[in-house]
Amino acid sequence: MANTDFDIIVIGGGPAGYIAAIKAAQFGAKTALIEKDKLGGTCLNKGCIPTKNYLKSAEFIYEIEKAKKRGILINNPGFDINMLTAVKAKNVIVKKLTDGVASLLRGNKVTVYYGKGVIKEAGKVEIDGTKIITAPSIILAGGSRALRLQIPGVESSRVLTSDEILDIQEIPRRLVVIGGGVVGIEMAMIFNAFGASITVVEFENRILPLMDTEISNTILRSCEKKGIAVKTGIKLEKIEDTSSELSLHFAGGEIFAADKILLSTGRQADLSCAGDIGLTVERGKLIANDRMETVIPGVFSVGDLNGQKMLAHAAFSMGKTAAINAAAFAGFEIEEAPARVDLRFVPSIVYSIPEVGSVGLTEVEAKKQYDVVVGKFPMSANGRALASGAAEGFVKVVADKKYGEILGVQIVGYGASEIINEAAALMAMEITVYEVSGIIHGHPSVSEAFMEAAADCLGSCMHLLPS
Amino acid sequence: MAERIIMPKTGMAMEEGVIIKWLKKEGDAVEKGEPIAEIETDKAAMELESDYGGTLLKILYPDLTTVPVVETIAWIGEQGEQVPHDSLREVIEVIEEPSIDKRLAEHEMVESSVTVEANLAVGKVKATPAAKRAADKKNIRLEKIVPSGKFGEVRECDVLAVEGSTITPLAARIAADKNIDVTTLSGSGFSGKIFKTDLGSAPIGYQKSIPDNFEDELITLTRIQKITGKRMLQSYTEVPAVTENTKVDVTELLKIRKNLNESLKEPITINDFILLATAKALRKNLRMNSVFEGNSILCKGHINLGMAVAAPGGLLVPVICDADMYSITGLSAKAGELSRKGRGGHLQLCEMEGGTFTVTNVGMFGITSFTPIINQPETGILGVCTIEDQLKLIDGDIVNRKIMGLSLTFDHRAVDGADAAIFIKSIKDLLEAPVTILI
Repeated sequence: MANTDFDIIVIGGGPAGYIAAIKAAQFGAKTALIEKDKLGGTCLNKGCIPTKNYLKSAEFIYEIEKAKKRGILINNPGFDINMLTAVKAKNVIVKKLTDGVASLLRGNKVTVYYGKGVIKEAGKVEIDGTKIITAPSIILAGGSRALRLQIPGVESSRVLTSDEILDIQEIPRRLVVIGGGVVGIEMAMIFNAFGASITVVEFENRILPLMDTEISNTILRSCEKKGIAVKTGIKLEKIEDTSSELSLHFAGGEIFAADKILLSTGRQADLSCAGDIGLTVERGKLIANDRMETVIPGVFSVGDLNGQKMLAHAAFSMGKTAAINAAAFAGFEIEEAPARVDLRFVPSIVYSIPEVGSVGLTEVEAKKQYDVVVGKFPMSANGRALASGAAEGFVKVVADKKYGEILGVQIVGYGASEIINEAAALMAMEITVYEVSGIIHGHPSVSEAFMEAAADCLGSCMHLLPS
Repeated sequence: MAERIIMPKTGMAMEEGVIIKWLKKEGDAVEKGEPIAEIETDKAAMELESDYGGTLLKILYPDLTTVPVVETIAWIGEQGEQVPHDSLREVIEVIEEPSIDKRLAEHEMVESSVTVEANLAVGKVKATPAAKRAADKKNIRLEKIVPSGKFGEVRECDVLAVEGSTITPLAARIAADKNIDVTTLSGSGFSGKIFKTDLGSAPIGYQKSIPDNFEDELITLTRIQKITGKRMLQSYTEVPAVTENTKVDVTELLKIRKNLNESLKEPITINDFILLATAKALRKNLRMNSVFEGNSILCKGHINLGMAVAAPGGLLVPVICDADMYSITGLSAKAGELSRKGRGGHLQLCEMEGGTFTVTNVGMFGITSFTPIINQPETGILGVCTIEDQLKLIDGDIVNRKIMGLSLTFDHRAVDGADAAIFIKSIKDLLEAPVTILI
């Protein structure tokens, strides 16, 4: 394409955007990336990574509490969390990773502009309302922002989202978490360990409502054991900020008092990069097909912006797919084009304690389409989990009765975030329960529970009593 | 441990084989898959491949010996290893592999000839047992494999060398269950790996497994069927027959029939009208009501209308004598009686004699035109076809009309095309102005 500044412009430097830019540059495309805040997006700055840093601390604390049982006697068991140090330590990690992204972009010769990028028309992007750059292909990766409930009193400075709570300087005495989804549960466990008194409030009738019911129940029990109060099926209507405290008014008249509120009621796409050029927006998402194409040729929508799956690892895949198709649109000979994203086997992970991993269909979903057989193995029968003091949880394998196709895997337990990737890999390669039950797993390891659950689908589990 | 080499059983019926020539001698090193002997089975000569690698320890039968199948003919093991003495001649049980035989049987059924490039053998593909096992495992059809065996047989190494696309375990399981031929497929995965979703593009026809009860059935012809067959052949070969097709608008006819039937106990059928119209048209075109006699044509004075009736034992043609002299109700009653008798097997021989023209009706089966065969020695036969809805432009209006097809076959020696056309047109005219039939 003649007379354009670049071959491909990417707006947004989060997981979808920076991967798209690197992939595009690898094809030899002259690539620009525009970032309005910090490289790395929600994932690196305000999501996945910083929370994992705090979660490790929470894990330490829970382990210290359990240490006595194992015969580790700590003389002075009292401890305090210095939030200033904790935030600083978190920021060091975040900086290291975002610097890493910057250097990857630099190394791949991607031109990075810091400013607000908005698409003005096909092929044309404006930065900060002043500078115009052009390219035949434009990838929109504007990401998402935490959703703020529209209720009276929500504007109080003591009502936080996940963005603010990560930089909180002082641990609140009473924290009410609105929303018992992934973010809400992770934050509840972190701040519970850090010493706050936590109440989780969920509008649906169970926490983690999108997960398997047994997962919800197991995590609920775990919350209760840790002293986290959970209220489900109630609706917050109003927040009152008296100078001394916050009072939360629920439908039905119930009132809670809190010092801080965390809103974790989901995220919404940030459409500000999409301008006003006639792109299709449905339910707040910038719609793209599985090739990441929007209704306008040469304009692609990826990551949280298109909302197909609001997860960083799904965003990586979407970014790559868009880069392939964008490079082809810009006139490059790309063998893989047209690429399509396949989000059937994207694992979902909750970094609760114990962790949750889920991939594919839940038992209920699978039963709608298949004749299903379910295999289950409890962590309480797994040697490694028991020895690690982590007997909570189970592995559940949902398989098609006829061919043994693995339709879904749900795990709660120690190491679930790692084991779920084995399940996803095997599912993507169409390995059936017949093969999984024969794959030799290292012993002792928590992964053995996955193999055993697969064997249970066939009624050939070795370490369960015959049912 | 030493392993035995047996005389392979290459087919269900094979009972013994001949060792033509040993290609290795005792003490020789043998690789897995390497030919060690030439053997002859009941069907063909082939090389016998070793299933094991090692040293040929002992040959139990010399060249040109006939040996029962599955009997041990040699031992392979590590150099210096002792061959078990007490089991030298032990015959081991071989578990039949029905899957292989069944697959081969299917090949015979499905493909009568085999692509020459792949395998010169026609019909059953020659292959060593090891090759069959490997092919079965890889779900590859033996015909697809280029054989390297001395006698044109497929060897194990040929199977292993096939660069078939790999297939996921799930897709393989589904393909085996649905009998999908995956050898022609290229998958969507890396390097053409076949996934579940790729199976949809497999050639149809291999999709279903073939049930065991698809057997041939011999049906003995009834006496009537034998006679009919003979006469049909005679007519077909002797008569220069021509068929003319036309369309008749029977909308009015159907209306009149409906009106008439409202007051009648026994309803009149469309066929009754056609019979009467034909009889009346024959009266005006007696040349169609004739017998060709070589040098002359005998035009018959009586119009005796044959009507083809499909009876359980075969085709019967009862005759309505002087059909043109009937009223519509009378003809309807007569035709009804004859066809009831025909279907019940109660027709007298005299009721089937003396026909001068035949009408055959296949309209109820939705046939739109056909070529009936003349019932000799008659000159013509009228085939009645189905009635269909058709839009017509009448006085500028689009109207729905009921249109019926007629197929007239005639003996061109007795009648010219134009004569036949005039005859069929007179039937058409009568049917389209149905009151004229009733007069």
